[in-house]
Amino acid sequence: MAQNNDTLTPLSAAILFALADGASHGYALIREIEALTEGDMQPNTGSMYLALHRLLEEGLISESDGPEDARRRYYKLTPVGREAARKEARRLAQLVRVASAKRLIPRAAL
Amino acid sequence: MKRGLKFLFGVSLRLLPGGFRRCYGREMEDVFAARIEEMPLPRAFLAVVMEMIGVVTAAASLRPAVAASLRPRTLGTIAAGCALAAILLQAAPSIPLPPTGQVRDSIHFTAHDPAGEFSITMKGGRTIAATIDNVPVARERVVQAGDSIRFLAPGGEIVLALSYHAGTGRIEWEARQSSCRGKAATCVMLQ
Repeated sequence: MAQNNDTLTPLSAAILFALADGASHGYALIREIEALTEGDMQPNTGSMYLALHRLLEEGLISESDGPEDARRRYYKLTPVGREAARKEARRLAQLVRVASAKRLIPRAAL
Repeated sequence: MKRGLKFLFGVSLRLLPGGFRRCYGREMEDVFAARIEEMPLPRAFLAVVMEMIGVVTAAASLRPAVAASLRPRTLGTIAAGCALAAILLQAAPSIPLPPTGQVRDSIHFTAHDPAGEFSITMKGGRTIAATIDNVPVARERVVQAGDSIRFLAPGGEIVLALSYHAGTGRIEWEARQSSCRGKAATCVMLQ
């Protein structure tokens, strides 16, 4: 779900970050994103599959053979997707540095 | 009852374009079923409403003219499902909302945020006890001015700020950061 300026939506970025460790299926991704964001992001099924569909179309993820459950479709990062995740992580880190410099978030949180 | 919720969710998937539904529909139904299986019934009602809104949003995004192409019966079924879920949700008795305990003029709140758990006990609108991570906070470190309550670190800095709304019987607070987990009694808020 890349935008004109190549940034990702928060959900798409979270999916790419969650897939950085390896292939996963839709339900596990929802659970992992909820855990990674400590419940701040609770994607519903519709938005999750819409985001997965768009990431597939853009070549940032691909389908993968499931290591555990053959009935489920697994998704993994493509090399392009991994690079997009790195780029997004750098962009977010830069924004966090700016917010911290402006004392919008406590330094202890970094 | 949960079977009915799964049916409602399945009906809402008809809004999605055929190709998308054939590709992901079965999987979406499986994911939805797994999610609500873990939930108590009242939360499952709320979840089905949120999930159906998510499907409608996805459908509108995939097919901007989706509203024009919908069969009235499908829309009617979805609207009726949302209305039914909302009514049942209203009637559900066990959704935990603060205050978590109320005895006469005493109110006890227990709440969580990313830094952990805290509790506060009030009597007659005044704070009489408080805990952070189940450890009592010394009375001199709980400062109340009107409906504003501050928990202080040993050095006097604010570690938790909340307001109590006597009219609604609710509290509001600024969520603490997850980095304070395990040291919430001394983790100072940004001021």
